[in-house]
Amino acid sequence: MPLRRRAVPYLLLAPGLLWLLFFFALPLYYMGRVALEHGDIYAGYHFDWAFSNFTDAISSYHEQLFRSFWYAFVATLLALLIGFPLAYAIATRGGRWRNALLLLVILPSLTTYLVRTLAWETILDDSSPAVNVLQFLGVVPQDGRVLATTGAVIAGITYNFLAFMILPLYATLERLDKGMLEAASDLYANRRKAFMRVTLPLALPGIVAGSLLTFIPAAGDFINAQLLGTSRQYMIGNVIQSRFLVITDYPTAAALSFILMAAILLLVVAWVRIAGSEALLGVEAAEAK
Amino acid sequence: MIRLGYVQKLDKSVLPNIQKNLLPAFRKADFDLTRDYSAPWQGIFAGLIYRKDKIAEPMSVNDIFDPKLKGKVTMLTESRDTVGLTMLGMGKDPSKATTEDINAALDKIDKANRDGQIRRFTGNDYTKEITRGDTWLIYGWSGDAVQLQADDPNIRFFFPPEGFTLSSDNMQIPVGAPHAYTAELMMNYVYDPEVQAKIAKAVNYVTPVKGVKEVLQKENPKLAENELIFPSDKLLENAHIFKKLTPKEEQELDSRFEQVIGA
Repeated sequence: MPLRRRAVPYLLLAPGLLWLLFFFALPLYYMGRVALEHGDIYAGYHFDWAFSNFTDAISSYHEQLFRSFWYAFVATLLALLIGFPLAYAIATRGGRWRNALLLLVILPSLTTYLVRTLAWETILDDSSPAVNVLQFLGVVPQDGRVLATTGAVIAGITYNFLAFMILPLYATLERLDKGMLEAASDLYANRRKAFMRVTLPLALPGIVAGSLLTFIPAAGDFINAQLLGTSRQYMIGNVIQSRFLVITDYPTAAALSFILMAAILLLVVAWVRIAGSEALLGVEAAEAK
Repeated sequence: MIRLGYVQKLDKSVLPNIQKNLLPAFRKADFDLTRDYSAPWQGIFAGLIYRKDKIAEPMSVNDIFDPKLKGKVTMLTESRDTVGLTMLGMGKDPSKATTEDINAALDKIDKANRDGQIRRFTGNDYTKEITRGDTWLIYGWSGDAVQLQADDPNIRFFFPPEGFTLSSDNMQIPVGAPHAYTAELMMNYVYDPEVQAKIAKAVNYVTPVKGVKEVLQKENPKLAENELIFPSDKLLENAHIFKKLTPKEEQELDSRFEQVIGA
């Protein structure tokens, strides 16, 4: 029956669409309303198109907003620099240990994120062996500290999201056709050139996917700044958390959430346009042939 | 919560122990001037906690701003304690705080934070850092200090000569509670000195109940002499309760405080 057949895709889509409607679209709508409310906790908040919430929020918290993106950017870059060689090594030299090595990458994620960050607090405290070694090597001054610094926060973010970088990278590098590299060397490309002209472009979809999976949660993170940093490292997530739960200033918190979301969306679109579309579409086109 | 109408009035006829045994220092709170809606569970002093293996005994609440202790101090995320203690160091009384006093104290805290003097603003979790020795002198709470000191004799509570703040955790009954009477019986029960003595032994905070010291004197004289649990009248003269703020003042203080502490 043609009618029934036409209904099939919609029925298949329905659970996902309903999910999005109830757990994404509706909350987003209510949040948007709250962001435009005016008032205080005692008198109550009422809706009156208070767009000034947005401008006030930006002027009060642009520092934390920029800091969030800066930390997320550095952490993503570090995760790429650490993750790429690791994913490459596992994919090309892992042999029969491949799955075991991948398991080791995923294993820490089986502990909750909060507990892992708390563990870092212990690892990095002022009198810990790790910090003593860094002091001995002169990386950290004798009276200096690691915990409660910018470095600790960025290191924490990098560590916590590293697996999200490694896995997509591994997935693309693992499918890399060795024949292409042989062809490159037949055409007199040295190893460096072969890497730059063959491996890297083919790995681009993995890099784009990994950097998105790392950058997006990193920009909204507040646990690392809270546990490993000080108020001088607080990110926009810390502000939103405190505006919602401590000061009960819901409109500002909601406005900041929207600003964060919009800013991430803009950055992601820009990044995908620069690096992604060609890589993602290029691979699909190649596979289609 | 009282202001928002979430809490119901207590029936004082069910609470004879509280009428009889509530210590004068706790008979009013900034949020409940007549104690019609709340009964203190335990009192809390906020003052200085320090490590005597790292620094000499403090002289003043202002020692927390000593540049020699840069990065080795923490302050509390509880605005009234942190602002109150800082105000006392500036010679102002938090129970008579004016907007200018509060803002001056916030400016001072803000500057110290920007200079890196203050390592962090913390809740109860300051115990981790001072136990590890990451911090040496902090704004902290009395009951925590008693317990920290029991685990590590190097950790001490210090009552600043300029004064310190007193607040309390409170028992309240939400509007619509089906068993308000039972809850009131419970409140009355913990105001029996014999019962309160057991609580005081376990939690080590300032007891708000009269006659507990006498109960403990026989059984645990050392604890009974601890001024952190049983403050003398003379000590209490130096304890300050933060002024009752109007809703507007309160939101201004909290909002500015959160901005100063970075969020």
